[in-house]
Amino acid sequence: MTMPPEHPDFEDLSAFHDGEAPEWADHLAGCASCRDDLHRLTALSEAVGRVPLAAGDPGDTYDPVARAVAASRASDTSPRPGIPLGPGIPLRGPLGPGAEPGRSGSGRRRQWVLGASVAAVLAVTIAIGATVAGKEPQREVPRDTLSADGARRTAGAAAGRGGSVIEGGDLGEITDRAALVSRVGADLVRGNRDRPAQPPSPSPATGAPAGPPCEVEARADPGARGELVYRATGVEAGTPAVVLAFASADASGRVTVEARALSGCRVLLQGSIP
Amino acid sequence: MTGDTGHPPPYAAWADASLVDAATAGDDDALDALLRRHHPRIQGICLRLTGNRADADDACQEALLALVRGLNRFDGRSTFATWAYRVTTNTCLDELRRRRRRPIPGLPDDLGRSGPLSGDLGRSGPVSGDHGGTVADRLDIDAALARLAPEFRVAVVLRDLCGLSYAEIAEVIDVPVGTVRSRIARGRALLLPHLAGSTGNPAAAPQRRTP
Repeated sequence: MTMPPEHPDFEDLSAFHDGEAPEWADHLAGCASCRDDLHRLTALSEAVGRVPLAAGDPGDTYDPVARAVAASRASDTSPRPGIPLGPGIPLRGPLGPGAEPGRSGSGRRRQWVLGASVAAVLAVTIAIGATVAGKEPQREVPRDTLSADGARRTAGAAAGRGGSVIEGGDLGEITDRAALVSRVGADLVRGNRDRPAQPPSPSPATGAPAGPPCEVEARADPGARGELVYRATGVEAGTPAVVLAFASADASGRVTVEARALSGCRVLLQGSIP
Repeated sequence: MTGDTGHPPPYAAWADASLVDAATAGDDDALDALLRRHHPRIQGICLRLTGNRADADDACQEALLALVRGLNRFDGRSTFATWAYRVTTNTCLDELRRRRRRPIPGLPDDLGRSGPLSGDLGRSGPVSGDHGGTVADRLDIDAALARLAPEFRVAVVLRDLCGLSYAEIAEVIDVPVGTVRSRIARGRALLLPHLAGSTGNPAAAPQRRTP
């Protein structure tokens, strides 16, 4: 293996760490010093990405705000000036022009939401008959949607397409292993109608399948579980994660699902669709 | 909202685009599912960008309000997540601009503004050897992030917390990809010496050209 004579500068190393500079792969493979620095960058990324969560159920922080926000839609849909509303609106403040002085402070905002919270309570009271099925009935997925056979068929078909991978998009918060497996199973059954399957792009440096570093590491894992058929992202206990599913090449058709930390690639959760 | 079978729709299995369509059509449960899905990361962005729980809660609340109010104008040119992060980032920057600067003891100056750039990688000590994330680690990270110039802080947080690609970050903060790359690198170079266990001793090889 021939290394370039120069070490990557910090920006190159940072970009390589992010999977944005694969041309340095060969150098990193042969340079212990650069790998050592890369590990420090990885530790930094993990630290930044490891957000301390509020104590208690995550819903404790979501419910009071978001339910009030949702309830507010019916009572007040007029846009307030100064709040960014769309992708076409440039950043303000330190990153752009158009600073807007004199917006209402948090005190007024809390008052406004308090009013909305009252509306939410009323709405919940009125609608209680419709939601009696459970605290979060919309999160349940019907069993027929989660047919293991269907998931295996779709996974097998994806594997059979020679590397096509179903993109699951952003799964949001991953609550537990069962929920993760159910969600991936549902996506596989659906064949992901919302997103077309895409083959992985090869690395310009090595010709090997590229993808995020975690994916490369997972594929190289000694406990190889077959063809990659699904990828998505999510958050597990505050840690950004990549979700991967592999279809076994043997007759069992077993699909292994795992969530790995986006930075560092350690396995956070693992399960299977038997 | 219920499906044909009388069961609630399986929102957890819906893609964001489908939830946006349903929410825009007036399905409040779909809106709730959409917000619930993205709330942890929105909250994380707010926490990392504002640096404290109280301001983060305010910013998170404001961001969710802005998302709801702007949903009808979301045109789907970007993913919902990218748009949501953009709205959240804008909201946090507004929050930062509104509040008075709160000096943090133990740090020399605002990183990336007038403080010296330390180009080494903190070799003299581990950045964070364990994965546990002690309180001290978090305090150091939050403190260092809080002193980082916002343009660097945003870029690093969108990458390391949200896992966005450089192209996606460029879309969120409306700058070229090359600028994203350099901001992330400069932000990290400034952060590394200030993390727990790192003394910032530049006596290390190889010395790298820093951004």
